[in-house]
Amino acid sequence: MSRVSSFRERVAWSALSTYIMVFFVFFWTLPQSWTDRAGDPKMSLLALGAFVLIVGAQWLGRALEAPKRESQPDEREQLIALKADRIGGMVTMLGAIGVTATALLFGYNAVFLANLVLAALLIGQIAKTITQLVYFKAGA
Amino acid sequence: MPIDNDIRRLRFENGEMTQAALAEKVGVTRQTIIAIEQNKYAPSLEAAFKIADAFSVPLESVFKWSKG
Repeated sequence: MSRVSSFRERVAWSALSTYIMVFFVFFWTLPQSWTDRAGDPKMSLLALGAFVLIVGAQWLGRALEAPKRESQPDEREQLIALKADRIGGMVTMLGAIGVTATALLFGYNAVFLANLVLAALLIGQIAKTITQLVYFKAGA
Repeated sequence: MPIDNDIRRLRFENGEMTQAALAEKVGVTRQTIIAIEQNKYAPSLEAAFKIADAFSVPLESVFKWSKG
């Protein structure tokens, strides 16, 4: 029996690889800005813009490229999406709590904290996408 | 999973119906049919009835629940 990926599984793979590729530089620069507790606002805005563009492009791509019979997710795909949203949401929430605690305890400047918030959002998205891929492989 | 099924046999008995053809009849993706057939995913009641209807057999001829 051949294992053919569904449209949504392929979308998840492309999303994961794009997140990792585009934000590699961003995550690379984050530890460097940690030492001076500042961060580069240009890099943050660039990363934020890229993040919005990627999510927007994925929505558009899904709407335009979905095969006709797969235009709506079926019940298993909806269940996987819900489970992945839950995990991704929990990771993002933990990240937000971590950033808040960092701000309260150490009082870093706004740009550096914005970098941390962005990192939390991205890690949440990556966790969500990985969860989707795991459930697509496992069945549901 | 305590729910077993005879989808593979029923497909064979229905002229080697393909997973894609069954998926089309049920209104799910082929990957979902594969997951159900391999007991990796328990379908909703509606999808289960649709699968039984695709083979023109009652629900209990497709799915079996083993207690414990």
